[in-house]
Amino acid sequence: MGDGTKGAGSGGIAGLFVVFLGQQAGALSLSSLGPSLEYLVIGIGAGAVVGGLLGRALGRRARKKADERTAETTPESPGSAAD
Amino acid sequence: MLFALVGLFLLPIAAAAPVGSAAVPRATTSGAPSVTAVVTVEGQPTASATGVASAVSVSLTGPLHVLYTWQASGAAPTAPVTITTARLQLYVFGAALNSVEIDITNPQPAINGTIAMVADFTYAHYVIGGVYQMEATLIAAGGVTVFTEWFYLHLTTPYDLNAATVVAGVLIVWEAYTIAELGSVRAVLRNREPARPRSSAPKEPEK
Repeated sequence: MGDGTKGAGSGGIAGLFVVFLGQQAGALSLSSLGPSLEYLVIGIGAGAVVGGLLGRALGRRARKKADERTAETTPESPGSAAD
Repeated sequence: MLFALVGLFLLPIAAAAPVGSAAVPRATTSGAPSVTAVVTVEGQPTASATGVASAVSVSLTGPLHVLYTWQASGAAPTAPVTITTARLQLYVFGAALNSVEIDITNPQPAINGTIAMVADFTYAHYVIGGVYQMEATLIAAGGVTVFTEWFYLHLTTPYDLNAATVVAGVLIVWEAYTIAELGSVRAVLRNREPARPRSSAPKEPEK
């Protein structure tokens, strides 16, 4: 599974619970079915998009740094040193 | 998992009737006796609580005292009305989650009257904080609904904290940590390591 997909999943769940937190804090009401579904879809969607983009960017950066670190620690081959 | 979570919340309300958005009092049946009423919760009138921002704010630390002050209306001479039941309902996802009802003992026809109700939601104060749409109803003899009012109620807990907010907060932090961990170089290097065999050395066959 890619970093973007993982981030989107986590972001979607976080967005869902942000909506519930907003309801508990009195910022929005989940009493009517239509607006509640709108809030939930917007929360999950926005969370998934933000989480996906963040996950992808962070994953790419981490892989790049890991490549650099691997290249620094890998010893050069004896043949190439003799030349 | 995400769909299961959403489905879990929506399953009990699939057959629920939609909630009216207007908070305007109305007589629901044509030809039925007409009644106007003022509903107060903890002494605060609910008529102007038509939205989330203007919701009546009450503490959930004790039972709510709701007062219906009603008056028969219509063309003079005003016909007396026999109110038999007062009802208060709390809505979540378009479904009546909780209903408090008072049946008047020995109801008599009258031009006006007051009905006091105690609605106790404290048993669910771990999960029920926040803003909810409420429906206040007066029912006359014969089961005719003569008055309905929709209004918003903000049930407050100390610091707006209860079990539901704590669980939601912890889950949000956990998911944010999961996203942040995608940027960990150590995690990437750990994933690149070849899988190690579980047992260190194969056992020699016994002679």
